[in-house]
Amino acid sequence: MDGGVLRLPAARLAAARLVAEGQLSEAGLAEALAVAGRAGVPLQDALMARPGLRPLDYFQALAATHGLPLLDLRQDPPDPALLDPALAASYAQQGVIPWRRVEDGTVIVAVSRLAPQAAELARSWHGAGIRFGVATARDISRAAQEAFRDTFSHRAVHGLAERDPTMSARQVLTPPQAIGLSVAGLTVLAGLALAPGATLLALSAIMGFFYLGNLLFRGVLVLAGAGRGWQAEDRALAEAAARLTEAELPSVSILVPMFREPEVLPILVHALRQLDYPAAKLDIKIVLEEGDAATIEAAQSLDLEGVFEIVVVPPSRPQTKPKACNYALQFARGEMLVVYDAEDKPEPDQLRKVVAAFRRGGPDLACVQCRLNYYNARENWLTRMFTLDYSLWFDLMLPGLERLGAPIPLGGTSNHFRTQVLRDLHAWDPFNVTEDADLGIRLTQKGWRVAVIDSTTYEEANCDVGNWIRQRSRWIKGYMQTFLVHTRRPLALLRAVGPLGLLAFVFFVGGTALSGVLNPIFWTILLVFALLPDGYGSDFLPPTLASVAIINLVAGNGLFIWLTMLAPLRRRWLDLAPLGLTVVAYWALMSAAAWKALWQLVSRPFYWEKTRHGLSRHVAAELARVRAARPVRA
Amino acid sequence: MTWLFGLGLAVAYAAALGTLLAQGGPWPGLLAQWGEAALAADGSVVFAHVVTRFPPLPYLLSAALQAVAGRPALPGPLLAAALAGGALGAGWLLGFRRAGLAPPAALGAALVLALHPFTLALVAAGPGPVLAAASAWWLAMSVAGLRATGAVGPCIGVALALVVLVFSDPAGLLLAAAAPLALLLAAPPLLVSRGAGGLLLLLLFPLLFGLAGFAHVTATHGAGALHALAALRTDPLGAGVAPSPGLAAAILLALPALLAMPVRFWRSAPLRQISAALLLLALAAPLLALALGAKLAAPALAAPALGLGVGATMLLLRRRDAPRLLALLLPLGLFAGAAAVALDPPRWRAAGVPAAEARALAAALAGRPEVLIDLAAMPEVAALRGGGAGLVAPEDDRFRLQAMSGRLAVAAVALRDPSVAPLPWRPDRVHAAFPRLHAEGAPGYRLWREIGPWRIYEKEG
Repeated sequence: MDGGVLRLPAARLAAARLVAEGQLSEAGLAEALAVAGRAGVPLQDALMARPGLRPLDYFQALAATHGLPLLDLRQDPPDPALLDPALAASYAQQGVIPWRRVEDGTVIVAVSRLAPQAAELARSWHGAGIRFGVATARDISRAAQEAFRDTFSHRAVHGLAERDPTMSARQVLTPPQAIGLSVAGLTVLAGLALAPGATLLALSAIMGFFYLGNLLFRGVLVLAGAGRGWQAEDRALAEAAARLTEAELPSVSILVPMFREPEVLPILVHALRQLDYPAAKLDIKIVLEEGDAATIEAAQSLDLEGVFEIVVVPPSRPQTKPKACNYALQFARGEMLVVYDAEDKPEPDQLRKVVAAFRRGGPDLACVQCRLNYYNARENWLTRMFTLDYSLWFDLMLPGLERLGAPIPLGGTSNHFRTQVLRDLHAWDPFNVTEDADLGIRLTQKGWRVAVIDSTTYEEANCDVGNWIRQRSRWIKGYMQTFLVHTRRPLALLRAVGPLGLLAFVFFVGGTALSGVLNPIFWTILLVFALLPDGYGSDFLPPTLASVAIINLVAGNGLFIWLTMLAPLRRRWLDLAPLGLTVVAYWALMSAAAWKALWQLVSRPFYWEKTRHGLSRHVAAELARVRAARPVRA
Repeated sequence: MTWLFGLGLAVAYAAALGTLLAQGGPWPGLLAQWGEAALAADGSVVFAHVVTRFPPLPYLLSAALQAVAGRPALPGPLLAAALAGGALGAGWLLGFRRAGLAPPAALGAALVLALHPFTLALVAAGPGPVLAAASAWWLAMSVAGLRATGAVGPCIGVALALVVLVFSDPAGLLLAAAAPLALLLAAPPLLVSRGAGGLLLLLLFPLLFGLAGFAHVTATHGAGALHALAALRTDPLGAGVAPSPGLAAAILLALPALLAMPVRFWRSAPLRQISAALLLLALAAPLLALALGAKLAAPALAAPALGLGVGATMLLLRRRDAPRLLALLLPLGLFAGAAAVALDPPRWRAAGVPAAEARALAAALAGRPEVLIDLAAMPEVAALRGGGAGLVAPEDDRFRLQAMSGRLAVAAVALRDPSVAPLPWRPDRVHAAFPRLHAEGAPGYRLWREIGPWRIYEKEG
């Protein structure tokens, strides 16, 4: 193969052969050509995006039409001596990898794309003495991953901790934090021993004002989130997204980390196929753990289009979702990158809206968070309450944080990044079990902005109490970790996010974790006082403190119940509003999770409480629907 | 311009209230509020009394102002009313500007409304009715916003406006009774079809929770769970006059936008339904007061209607011919309002007579040291004396000791005939501690004065 051959319309020739062999229909080819023209992508990408066309068939045709060998890198992996660790990620991203050196010194380079750029890249590495062989893009990526698995794995685990250690939760408490907490604890103990009344009063005052601040702050957040102009902004964004031509859309990497959830895989794949975005511009990575044979097998059996890639993460500690994402990020090819969970169903126009938001948001906008909600909202009481919880969080509070210019703790999935910014920040913290929340705060600390837009990803709400507590305890533990990480340098945080941002961080991240821990203590105190003949025992407190306590008790509970009722209004799910009256029981579950989280923060700080998916009865119905809709012909 | 206008109005209102004070004082109820504010500012009132006062917002506002300003030239409630009135006028000016009126027209419209006889009567009736008018205006605009967008913001507006309304003015309780029907009438049909119960619950929850919380607090502190409803029987302004059947008609004539709106918007179903809801809410207080025999003064009853009428006026501006219509409606309302007040003065103006007892008592106690009196039972005395200085209150430790020992040790003691106690939640605690004192006196004390139901005993020798 030489440069002349590379200038030929390689993919077109291969496609013609596929048509001739009956592996691609004439109409399919015409459609792929049209897509390539509209979206401005190579025909190969358009073909790889076609459901029903096996990538291996295409690469066989590509090799055959150009008289090149088809290299099976799984059977015959590249010679490690030819591989340069500095180029490890490039091999996978560019689809070019040196394979073997033959007797005359010529290096055979495996390429997945017969394009001049691939040849130039190979020459820049090995000079003119090269020959080419064809390999599938997946094989090249996998070969690079296999060859440098320890390097990639180390970067995924320790990348942030080694390059920006103060931002990593690898160390739960820094020495100054440990000393500060010890001094505070000893002061309280000494106070309780020497002046118990005054100490309890002081603690009560601190807690009372903390609750009051939390109450006021969340009220302000909801007011800001529900403020004027949002509907017009949402409409404008939707219109801008619809106006984008396919050629204007950037390439997007989609990371889907999964662990032991083969049952929801078809739903996810179906949802991704439904995206209103040129599939040829997608780089979808299903990120699986090496030990999870069931999900790997399920993914392989789906016979996925070429835009899908199964990335297998080698085992290492901690085994967390952020580590898996960090691992896969090293092979991501998209300008933008998004993380979806296995059970996610993003709204079809979500990626377009995100692109429009990035274009409108300015160069400092690094991340766009979409709203999350549930497709099985009405399954039982817990899913209803979870829906109210999420609606309040994503529909009212996060937009409120954005409007106030405060740091936004990203939520779970559907956060879309500029890939390069993500890499520059060393991506997710694998030691933080709410790596998304931490990353949102870190982005703001580093001068970037996060926006929240009106596009929803629907997920499976946890319908089992035990499973819910496991999930929530992980979230709360992660918030505790995030709080500890970002308060290591409080002045730097203040300078970076401003006083309002700091306040928002303290109440929104710290307050969420702390209130769950404190609530049962205050409920017990309330119960004790209620059983006393003097009622509340307000006479025990000075008038100011008694007023704060009463405001917290009456107005605080009332406000939070009401906010829960308001939460579903945006989606017109008014049948859920009365469930807000039962939110106290939900808070009790949150407190159980908070105490578990606190215990785990001490005993197993990096342990990832796995949430089981696929428990909902909606999943079975959805699976049947998805299976019925699977395409069969290219 | 807006702030200047508001400030000018507040100063003008304050001057007018000062004149009113000099000419015989404000509404008797306002005098009591003044006294309570003075006692709260002195710190000579128990916590239980603070948290059981209904409606609480005007009281808290007055007490806060009294505390902040020390001993202002104008009593706390009147100062609060003047400031709230000025702020409301500024809000109206801003509202008219936002509704599309040119600055001179907006200024003119806001000025006419600020000088409307109903507005003046409200300001003279203290901060409660002014807050009620402001919150009713907020309610009207939020109801319109709810219908237009169905968004969270207007829902919050409706819910919070109802809370402020009810906790500012007892007439708000009557309006709130009609609110469910009005809100269902005005809400977007889609929301109603998705869950009318849920919608009503989220719109009314803050109010219901607030009332339930208040009932719990009042029950805990001995005033009874239905303490708030008692305000309907005994007007906090102290008018003691039942509402007249003509009040509803007077309101409609004095606030003609409420009638003009459904006529002008007859062809637009959403605006027609909003108009009907506003009309229903505006008439709810006077008509229910009439039906239930609630003794509320006219300013208290008219306050919500005034706010709703201003809201209707601004909503009318959505039509192109609205400025001409406004040029007709505003003067018409002004004259009708003046006629309403002139034709029925006892219901609109403070008569001052019920305060005579307090004035006589205050005059009798003037200059006397160490007088034991339960000012919570007659806070007007505190107002007229300028606070609780020189008096021994039941909160005082000295009184508690004397009550425990059953032996009085003060220079004088004043207490009310328990059989004619005016308010059930204001029992005279001196009488509670010394049940036979009013009728029989105490050893070593002689009856010095009798003022109506009050007796003052002084130490012999």
